Order: sequence, then structure tokens, then C-alpha cells
Amino acid sequence: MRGWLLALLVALGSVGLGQGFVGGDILFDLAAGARRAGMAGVGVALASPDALFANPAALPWVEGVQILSTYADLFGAAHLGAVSVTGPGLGGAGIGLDAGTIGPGLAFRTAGAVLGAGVRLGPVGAGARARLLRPIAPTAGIGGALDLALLWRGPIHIGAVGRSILSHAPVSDEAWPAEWAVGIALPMNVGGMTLTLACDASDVGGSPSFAVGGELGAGWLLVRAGYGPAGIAMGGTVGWGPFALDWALVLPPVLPPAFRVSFTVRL
Amino acid sequence: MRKVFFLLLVVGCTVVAQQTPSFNLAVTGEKTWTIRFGLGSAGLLADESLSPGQPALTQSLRAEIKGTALDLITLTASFNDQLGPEFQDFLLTVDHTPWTGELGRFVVGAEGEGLGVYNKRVLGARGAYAGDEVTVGALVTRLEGISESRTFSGERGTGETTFTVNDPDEPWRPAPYLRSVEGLAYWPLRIQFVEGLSEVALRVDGSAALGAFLADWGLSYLEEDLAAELVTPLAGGEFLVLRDGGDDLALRLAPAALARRRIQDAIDAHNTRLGLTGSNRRTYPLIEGSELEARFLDEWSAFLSVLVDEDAYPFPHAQYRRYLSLGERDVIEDTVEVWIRLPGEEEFRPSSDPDLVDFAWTLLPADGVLRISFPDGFFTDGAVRVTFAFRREGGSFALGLSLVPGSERVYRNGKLLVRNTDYALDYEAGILLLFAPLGPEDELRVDFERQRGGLGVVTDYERTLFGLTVNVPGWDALHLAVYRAMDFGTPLPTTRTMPNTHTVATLALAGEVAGWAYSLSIAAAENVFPSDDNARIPSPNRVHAISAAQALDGAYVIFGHQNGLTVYKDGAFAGYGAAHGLSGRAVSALLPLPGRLLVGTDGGLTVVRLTEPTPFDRVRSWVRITKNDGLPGTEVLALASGDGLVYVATDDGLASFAPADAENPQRWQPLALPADDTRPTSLLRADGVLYLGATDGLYVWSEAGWTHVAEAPGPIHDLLARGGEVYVASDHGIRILRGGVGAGWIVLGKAVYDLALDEGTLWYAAEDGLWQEAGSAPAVGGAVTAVGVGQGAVWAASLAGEDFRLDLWRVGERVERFTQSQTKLDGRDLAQFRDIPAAEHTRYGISGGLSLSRTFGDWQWDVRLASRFPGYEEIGRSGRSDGHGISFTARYKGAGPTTLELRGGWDVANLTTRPQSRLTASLDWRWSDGPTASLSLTPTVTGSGVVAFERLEMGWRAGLSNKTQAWSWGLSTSGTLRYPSFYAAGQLGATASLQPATGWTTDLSWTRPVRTTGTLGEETLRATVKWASVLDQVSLNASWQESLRHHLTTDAWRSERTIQADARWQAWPVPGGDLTPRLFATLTATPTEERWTARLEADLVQSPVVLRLKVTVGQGLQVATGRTDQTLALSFAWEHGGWRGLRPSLQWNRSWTLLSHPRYPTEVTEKEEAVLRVTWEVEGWRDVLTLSWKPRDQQVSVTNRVTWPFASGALTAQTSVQLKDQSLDVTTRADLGLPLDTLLVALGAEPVGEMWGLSVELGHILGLAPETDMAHALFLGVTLAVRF
Repeated sequence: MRGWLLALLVALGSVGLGQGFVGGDILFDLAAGARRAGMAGVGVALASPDALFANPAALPWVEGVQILSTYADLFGAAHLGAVSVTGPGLGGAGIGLDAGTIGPGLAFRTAGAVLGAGVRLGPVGAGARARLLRPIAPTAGIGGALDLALLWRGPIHIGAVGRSILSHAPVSDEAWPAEWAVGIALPMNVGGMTLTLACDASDVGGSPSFAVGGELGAGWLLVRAGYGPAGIAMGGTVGWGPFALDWALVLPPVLPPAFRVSFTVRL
Repeated sequence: MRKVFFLLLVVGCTVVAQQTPSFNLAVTGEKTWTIRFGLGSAGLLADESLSPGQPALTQSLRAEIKGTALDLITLTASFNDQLGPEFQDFLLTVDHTPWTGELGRFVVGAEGEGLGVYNKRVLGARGAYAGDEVTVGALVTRLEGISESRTFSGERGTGETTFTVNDPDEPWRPAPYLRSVEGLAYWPLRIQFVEGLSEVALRVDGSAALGAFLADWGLSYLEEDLAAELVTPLAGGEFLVLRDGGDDLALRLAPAALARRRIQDAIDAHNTRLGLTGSNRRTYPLIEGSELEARFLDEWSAFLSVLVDEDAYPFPHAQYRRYLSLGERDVIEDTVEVWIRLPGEEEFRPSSDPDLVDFAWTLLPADGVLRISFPDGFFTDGAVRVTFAFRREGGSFALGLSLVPGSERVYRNGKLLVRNTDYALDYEAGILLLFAPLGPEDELRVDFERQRGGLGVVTDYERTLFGLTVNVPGWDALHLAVYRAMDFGTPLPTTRTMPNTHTVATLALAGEVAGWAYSLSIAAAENVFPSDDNARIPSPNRVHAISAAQALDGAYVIFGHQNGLTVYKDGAFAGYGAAHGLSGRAVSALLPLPGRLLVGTDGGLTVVRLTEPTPFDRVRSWVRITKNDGLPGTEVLALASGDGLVYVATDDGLASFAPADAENPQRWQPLALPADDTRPTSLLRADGVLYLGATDGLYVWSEAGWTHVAEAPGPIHDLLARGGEVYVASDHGIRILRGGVGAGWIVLGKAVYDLALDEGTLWYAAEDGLWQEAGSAPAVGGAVTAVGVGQGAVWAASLAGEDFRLDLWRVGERVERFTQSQTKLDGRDLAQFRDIPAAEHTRYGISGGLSLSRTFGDWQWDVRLASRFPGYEEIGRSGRSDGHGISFTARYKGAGPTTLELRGGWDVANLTTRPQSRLTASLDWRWSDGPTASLSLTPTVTGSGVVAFERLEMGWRAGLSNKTQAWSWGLSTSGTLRYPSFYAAGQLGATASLQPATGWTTDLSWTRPVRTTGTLGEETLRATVKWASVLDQVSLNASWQESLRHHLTTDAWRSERTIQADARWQAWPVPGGDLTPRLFATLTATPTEERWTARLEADLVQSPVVLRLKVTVGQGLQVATGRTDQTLALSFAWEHGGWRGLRPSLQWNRSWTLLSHPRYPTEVTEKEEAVLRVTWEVEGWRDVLTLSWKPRDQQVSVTNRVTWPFASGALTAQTSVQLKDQSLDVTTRADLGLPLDTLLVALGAEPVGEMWGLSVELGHILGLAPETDMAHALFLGVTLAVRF
């Protein structure tokens, strides 16, 4: 199963690459939106529609109700779909990954759900997130983890996410070790446009890896780029009416580019 | 580099930051979300791509985006998430004079732009500053693909096939079946083979001996399954019938492969019959390609025969050494060249060599087979090489998968073609479709890029392109450019290539000097490790362990090395690798146990069960144990046993277990390594103590943990115990430990790699040879890496040197060396590689070109000089060559009926290696003033050398023609005169066309080849008479074409005749309506086939009813076999358009084909299909009922689809019933689609806009099949869609 997960991870150029261990919970990284992917995985200190995946402590800053969906066709071999609904302080998501039937009697299929909540006190937000993973094939099981998060949005933004503070892996030979990610973001206003520079460190205290990213633009158009363990990333957002479309192209060092697109509806 | 890239991207973005946001954005597309859920039968739901109880969410997004802001920022993007990353395009452009920038996907080096870079589709950023006098540009991009090139020649393909005795890549193996000089296995047929009637099958002799044979090989369980199907048909592609005198039947598939497949089919049938699954399934028991399997197949083949009708041809009676298959059909006779290498010789000689008079061959062109008659002695070590051309048809060309969209350049005879105008290209499938087919002499060249990774090309490095350009228009359009394409990354030991760095600098000028318009370009290139010269050198193979093991059939000596295992028994060696059952590729340790052999590899532990004879050749003997099974690590680095336990050391831990638990890792006891970075090399259990040798020294285990033994420094290579002493082999020598304490050295100051005891005597493998304890000289010289004892002797292996020679040695009473031809041991490590020096693998080159153009009176003169030196390559162009030349063109542009063009040129290729020069000239003259005369002369002189006149080819083409209203005629000749072989080859032709009366056309044509030597070819005379007439009620057409041809060496003319006629009546009234009949008839006669067909069609229209009847009859005769075929086809269609809202139609087709031959009963093939369709439309309702019946396939289907549109949506209900092969499926589904607002308003919610839509699907499937229970499935789906 891990071989499949690793292949999918690499195919999507996920931020988890380079962190040494690949478990079933990588599904939650795969489901993250294209905005984060376009900044090479940076997002711990950012508030965005995919705060549920990046940092649930940013949920109180989500404006209105936002529905974000992400889909990827992985070389025609597997389908990844995720839909999340977030509102101020609360969010939930469903994720499905289906490779169909790989061979006689062999299939790969897994599903996940995320529920997050956050509260804020002035510039400080705190959040918690529950992740539920249900592998369906080839091995069935159920597992979950509880994550805790903090975010301070002052002149600079500082965030921290503790993943798998409590966890139960769905498969016996797998472990979801606790790990911390921290991030810092510097938002600026440049000539009427927003410029955000951000940096994340993952697996702090273990085998840390770093990612940096930047985002620039106005309401209708944002362009972004980043560099992280998965390689160079670039992407953008266009927004019109109640909709926004994010795209990301990740350039791993050797493998072919990976593409991801997210669609957001603001209600 | 990536940091630079990132920095540039961010800097590029800051340009945007200077603006005030105001925009104009247009987005079109669609987003859908669909959730589907099914319950019930998994088999029925599979047709709906559902699994029972599992919700499935699918999404799609398609968007076309174009946005502008402040007239300086433009975004264009196209996304479709159902396609791969290479089909997603986006480009952000900033145009703020004098600055411009692009970010996204674009093309570098497109036609007219490229100088130094050849059409690369890239992903990245580029920017430019355009000042008043200078323009400066820069780009940083990621190269997405790998350049490739394919060339196709006319309607011909070319091929080269070499037939040998042994496989050229692995000389110790016989050549593959289709590439062996032995040729195809064949049997002369005793009766003539009749296509379509003769049946070919594989027969198993089901006599009593078969049972005994199966029992001997443990396959008794197959007896029933084989007996149930003793005769199985052979597919058409598996055999050939070669008609050359008598009929010979030859196998395209090796007889051994057919024999193996028959057993595998029987095993599959057995599993199916008994419903065996998972570990209970039976599998093919033997290692393919092993000597044991060869013996098995040899015995099994004695029971097999090819059956042609009732005539059996036993496998053992197959004959060889007659037919060589070239691998292509329709080989062109004149193009075949056969080269023969006699046994013991190095070079091939043409078969026309006077010494090869005993070597005869003939071509069977249609089958692509060479029929040979060679002396028997040739087949011991001879080889045959055949070059040939073959006919290919159609305008589609396969380029392979995963092409980079937009990366191609397609040239036809050097002219660039335009996509979707001249050709179409499917980038995913890699199929190029040319709209106008190639002519016989046309050449099609396709340069393209193949995607990295995925289904495309595997690459070792990240590849990036940098560029810097400077343009100064005021300085004679000065253009300077520097491009560098770089591979980033450091080669790993397993990396096969060195990173390439390709730099090109160019300078271009253009202007006018002394009345001449000129264009000058100069370029230089450095290419470090170019793609065709970057292969790293394989590392030498190395034997790590030698051990002996006892099986039921005797003692084996086993050698573990970087490429797997080599096993010695009874004087023969055999090799085994991961394909046979090893867990990994490289073997680092061996440990024999009673009944088992443990093999430590870089992919895990392998257990070879030694409980059967020839255990290494049996699939079930091999058991893989990897980290996923519980092995405490990925690589197994050392093995040991002692005190009733086995010890395994891996890269991540140790484990101990009882020998009986070797295949049960769940029962193993884990043990940690001394430290995380400790890399074990050897293990020893002696006197109750466990020793661990590692790269950083020696450790001893106790209850307190591991203790480092400082007196035995690392790296340790081997450990051995004798008496109360432990010997530690390391880079420093052999250290003696007594009671865990250092007690001197046996050897000091040289590396010792391996230790062994032979009857109490210590042997060691050292960097200077194989030594016996206290020996004065090595038993074997040179570096020796492993030593072991087996079959009463000491065995040793030397380290492969630079020449990759790796010898094995047996040291008994005498020293015996086994060469690689005996051991079949490759001296190369097939997965580890070493760097090559850049200085020896770098190409430098320059290129330059000058074009001059000027008009003198009525003459336009163009002069061109160009030189491309060896080593110069544009970035992205595949292939390389050097070339130098000067040419001129003079065109007469005066008035009058005459046109004239003179051209001349001199070119030299491969100047510094093997210069080949070509001096060309041409004269094209044409005069047209009523009659037309033309003359073209194209002399070309070529030869080896800068100035050489070795060969002359003078092409000529001349013609005279005239055309008047009633008749036309033409005479032509064309050909080539060659020197010094001094012969001419061409053809004479004449055409005449006459219209003697209205409606009549007569065409005559004659061609006759003209050759002063060689194959003369065929003379052809063709006459065609056409007649067309339009009468009051009928139009009549008829044609008669008579072709006569004969080879110029014979007087026998062969005739081909085609007569066609058709009559088309106008509609005339008959009782019941208007009848429009049509009649077609064709007669063809060729030397191989005679055929006639007649077809009557009639439309009867009595509005609103239309009836159409079609009757086709025909008969053909296959002259060679006397087989006749007769066909009758009926078609009837009825349609009624007179009922308002109701439109019924019926279509019925039935055909019969009869094959007849004196020797066979008449065979009838029938096809029948009827389709009834009723469409009912009233007030927006639409109902379509379709009934389809295929009685020959026992298939009936009924589908009813009703659509009910209403004010705000539509409801569709469909029921389909399909009966096939006695199984009945009934599917009922309903879809309701409506705007989302309709639902929201009904629920009292706020509307969200007209662009939202909702669709609900509900369906049920019922499945009925004989002898099974009724099956049901229910599925539900909801789709939410938004269009924008």
C-alpha cells in the first residue's frame, strides 16, 4: 500500500515528499487545495479557503461560507477528489482516492474526512482538527488523528500545527508519529496589491524540511510561486463573481510536472 | 539553480505590483460534481463503474480564461482536469513598454525565431527590455521533454535483420527464435492448404504415456483438463503457410513457447474448473529458460503435434534451416541484400561473393520470408544480415506515447508542414495522420519532444534552459544570443548517464552591402556529455560470497554477486536473478541450512528450498521475504548460524530465529544495531558469542548490549571461528581474537575480503590473491573477493577488472580457471555505474552561414555559403552531422513562354572524419505555347574526399505534350545515368487520350523500363474505355480496363481486366409509389483471382413511406487452390414519416458467404441483424424505442428512452433489456435535470443564479443468467453543475 501512496505522492508533488515517512495520512496532504500547492506547500501561517487543511486555527478568519473542491486525474490511473465546506470558525471535508481495479483481485481505494474548528481572541486563533481515514481496498481499516493549531495574525503572521497529537493508524504496520510544523508569513500592500511572503518548516524536531513561497495580486488575479521539498511550484488564482479558480503546477526535480486545480464557491 | 529560478519568478511578479488593479476577465467553462452510490450485485454495478456500498465522487472542470488589466497584463489559460498536466496551459504576459515579460508555457526557438535553440516547448519565465537602440531579453525555463526525431521514406519502410546462432547481447544463450539462423520450425504439408477452409490446431497426444509423463513432473492434476481439450486451435498470427512449390506450414512462435503456453492454459483451466484462487491457485512450476524447463518442454513436445485438418505433424518432426522471417510483410524484391558471415570470420560478405556459391536464397515477398539453402557447416557459428525495404500503406505514422503538445516540426521533403492543415497529431497516442499520403520518393521527417516521466521518457536529471539575447537593430540588425541547457543533479551509483550541459552562442547580422542584400550568422556550441555520449561505465561485478549446499540431487556450489546467483553443478553453471525468485538484484550473503539456502540480497531475504531435485529451476523453491513481511530492514547484509539459531543482519536491524522459522518472520526475534549509522558486513556466532562486523569496526553482543572491540578496526569484511579463536578480515589484514581480546595478526597490511576453512586449513581472499594460511605464494593471483569450500575443493572469485573479465577458480590438486563463457557470469555490474571524464565526452563546434541576393536585369541571383563543423548542435535538435557548402541559384524572370532556372552547389559532409563531397547542378527549362516541352537535367558528382569525382548521377526528365479539345497525347522519358558503373535506368512512357464521340473516352498508356544492366522490370500496356450516357430515364456508365504486363525477360504477358457498369434510373411512378432502381456490376480477373459482383438497389417512395432494398451477389475464384466463394447479401429498410409525431423505421440486413472446395464440404457463414426504431414526439415529449436483434449472436436488446421537457428542466427515463448468451440484463434509469434555482425557490431558499443546474439519476439493474440466482443492483447519482 505504501508503494501506491508514494507513487501518488510523487505524482502530485506533495509537500510531504522528503519527509522520510509515507503513511496513509498523506491523503490529507494530497487533498489540500491548489493555492497551497502553488506555493510549494506553504500555508501554516496563511488564512485561506483551505485553512481546514493548512491550519485550522485560521478558520475564524474565513469570510462567509466557502465551498472548495479539488480534483486530480493521476495519469488516468487514479482519481482524487475532495470537497470542503468552511465557514467562520468551522469546516469539514470529504476526500476520496480511487485507483479502481489494478489487477485480478487487487484494488486501491481509500476515503477520508476532516472536521476542524477554530476560535479567535483578537489576533490570536486556536484550532483543532480531527482527521478520519478509512482505507477500503486492498486492506480495510479505520484510523484517525487529532491535530492542534495556533495562529497569530499581527504585523506578521505566525502559525503552528501539531499533527497527530493523538492518533490511531488504520493499518497495524503503520504509525502516525506526532510532528510539528511552524510557519511565518509577511503580508504587505504594494501599490494597491497584496504581496505575501511565507515560509514553513515541517517536522520540526525531527527531520525538518523547509518551503518558501510568495503570492502577489489583486482580487481577480493572484500569481504565486514557491520552492520546497517537492520542487519548484507556480500557480495562480482568478476570481469572478462568487467563484475562484486556483491552479498549481509543481515541478519536481526529475519527474514530470504535476498539475492541480481547485474551484471555490463563495456563498 | 532552483533558487535563482524562484528569485526570477518573484522579481517578475514585482513588475505587476506597480500597477493599480482594474481588469477585464472572461471565463467560460463548466464545473461538475457527481456523487453516485450503488447497492447490490458487484458484477452488475461494475458496468456503471460503481462498487456496492461505496459512494463515488467524480468532478470535472473545464475553463478557458482570458483576462486583461490596464492594457499591460494579460492572462490566457486553458484548463481541463480530465487531461494530464501537459495539456494545461497558462501564460501571464506583462507588456509595459519598454518591458515585457511572460510566465507560463511558451515556445522557444520557433520557426523564424530560433538560432541556437530548436523549437522547445518550455515552462518558465522570460522577460525583455526594448530600448530605443537595443533590446535585451532573458529566459529561465524548465525543459519539458526529450528531443526525438523520426524519418519515414515514402511508401516504403526499411528494415535490417540479423540472424545469429547465439544472442549477440548474451553470447552464452542461443539467439531468440525469430533471430536464429536456424529459422522457423516448419513442416511440409502433405495436402494443399486452402485459406478459410483448412483448420490448424495444436493437438496433445492423450495416450497412456501422457499420464506417466505428467506424473513424473508432478502434474497429474492436469490430466483431466488436458483430456477435456486435446485439440486447441492456433490463431492465424501464430503460423504461416509458405507457398513455394508445395505448401510448408511454419510457426511464428517458437515450438517451446507454444508447448509452455499449452501447459499454462491447462493450469488456468484447472484453476477455473475447481475455482482455485489466491494461494490455492496452481501455477507454472518451472523457472522459464532454465535447463530443467528445457528438459521438461523437450519431453512434453513429444506429445504435441500441429494438426492441419486431420493431418498431424509432430513437433519432433519439425524441420529448420530453410525459412528466415524478416519481420515485415510485402518486402520489395529488388531491395533485398543478404550478407553472410561465415563461421570463424569477423566480417560479413555479400551473398554475391564468388566464395559463397553454395549459399542460395530466394525471397517470398508477400510473407516477408527468406527461403535459404546454406551448407550445414554454416549453422555452427555463421550469421546472416538482411537489409530490405517493404511497402507500407496509409498516412498514419506511430511516434510513440506522450508527446509534448506543440513540440513537433514535420517536414515533407524539407518543407515544413502546418498542423491541422497538412497533418493532425494525437499527442497522447503519438499518432501522426498525414492528410496527403507520401509518394514513393517522398521523405517525412518528424522532430518532436517526448514527455519526461509518466508514460514518456525516464530521465535522470532536472533540465533547465537559460537564455540571454541582445538585439541592436541599428547595427545591421545585430542579434546576439547565448543559451545554456543544463541537467541539474549529481549522479547516483545507479544513474546510467552523466548530466548534460549544452551551451550555444550565436551572432547574426543582416543588411545590404554594395547592392547585395546579405544575411550572416555565426554560432558556436559546447556540449558536455551530449545525449549520445553520456553513458556511464558499468561498475565491475564482484562475487561477495561462495557457499556449498546439498539438495536431493547432489551438492551445489553457489556464488553470490552483484547480478544475482550463479550455481554450479555437474560441470555446468546457471544464473538466477530477481526474475527467477531473488528478493533483490545484488547478493551479499549466503547461508546454507539443512534443506534450505538463505540468500541475502539488497531487496530482502530469499529462501531457496532444497527439498526437490534441481531446486533452483522450480518456481515453488523460491520464497521472498522483504521488509513488508517483517524483515527488520530492506537490505540483508550478513547471515550466520550457531547454537541452534540463525542470525540476519540488515541495514536497519538484526533478527534471530530457529532454522524452522526461516520463512516465518513473524516469529523472529528482533535485535537493534549498535548505532543507527552502523552498516553490518558480517556476522558470526561462536562459543555462545555473537559478533557483528561492520564498516566502522567489530561489535560483540552481550546482555548489556553491543560492545565495540577497538582492537579490530573496520571496515570489517568477514568473520570466522576456528578452535577458540576468531579471525577478523578487514582492510588491515586478518586479526586474531582470543577470548574477545586481540592476539596478533595472521595477515597485516593488506585488505582481506573473505575467509574459509577447508579441512581445518584457513584460506583467505585478499587484494593480492587467494592465499592458504602460511602459504608462500598465492594459489590464484590478482584481486580475489570471495573464497568458499564445496564439492571437495576450494573455490575463489577474482574481481572483474577494467576489461570486465571475471574468473572463477577451483583449487584442488590443481588450479582450474573457469572462463566467463563457461560461468555465464557477466563481468559488469548491471545496475551500478561510474563517472566518465568530461574532457573525453565533450563536443565543440561552430557554424556559420552567409546568404547574398541581387537582381541583374531579368535574372535573380542568390548565393549561399554555409558551414556546420563537427560538434555544433542546436539545443533540442536530435542528430548531428557536419556539413559545408556553397550554392547559387539563377532564375530567369523575363517575359515570354520560356522559364529557366539554373542551380549549382558544392557540399561536403563529415569533413574531419570521412569527408563526403557532392557537386550538384541543375537545369530546368520549360517552354509552353500551346504544345509544351520541358527538359530537366540534374547532374550530381559525389565521392569520398573534399573534392572527389567518384560517382556521377545524371538525372534526366524530358517531355513533350499537347492537348486539344478532342484528344491529347504525351511522350516522356526520365531516368538516371550512373558512372563509373556506367548504366542508365529509367523509363519511356506515352499516353494518348481520345474522345471519339460524346460520352466516349479512350485512354491508352504505355511504360517500358529502360535499363542498361540489372533487373529489367516490367513493361505495361493499359487501355481504358469509358462510356457514359444519360437517357430520358436512366444514366449509364461503363468502363473496361485491360492491363497487360510482362517482365522484359519473358514474352509471357499477364492480363488483368476490370469491367464495371452501373445504371441509375430516375424515379418513375409505379403502383405504390416512385421507384428509383440502381444497378452495379463489376468483373475483375487477375492471375490469382477472378471475381464478379452485382448489386441492385431500389428505393420505393410513396410519401410518407420510404422503402429501400439492396441485393448483392458475387462469386470469386482463388486460382491457386481452386477455392470458390459466393456471397449473397440482402438489405431492407423501411421508414414512415407520415404520422405526426411518430416516426417508425426498420432496418434488416442478412448475408450468406459460401466457401467451396472439392476437398471440403461447403462452409456457410451467415450474418443477420434487424433494428426497429420508433420515435414518438408530441408536445415536447420524445420517446425513442429501439429493438435490435442479432440471431446469429443470440442477442436481443430493447431500449426505450423517453424525454419529457418541462418549463424548468427535463426528465429522462430509459429502460434497456439485453438478452445475450442466455443472460438477461434489464437496466432502468431515470434522470431529472433542472436549474438549481427551481429547487431552491421551491424550498423557500434564495436563488443562486441561472448558471447552476442539478441532475438526479436513479437506476436499477436486473441480471438473470442460467444456473445462477437473480441479481439486482440499485444506483443513485446526483450531479451539480455550474456553467460560467
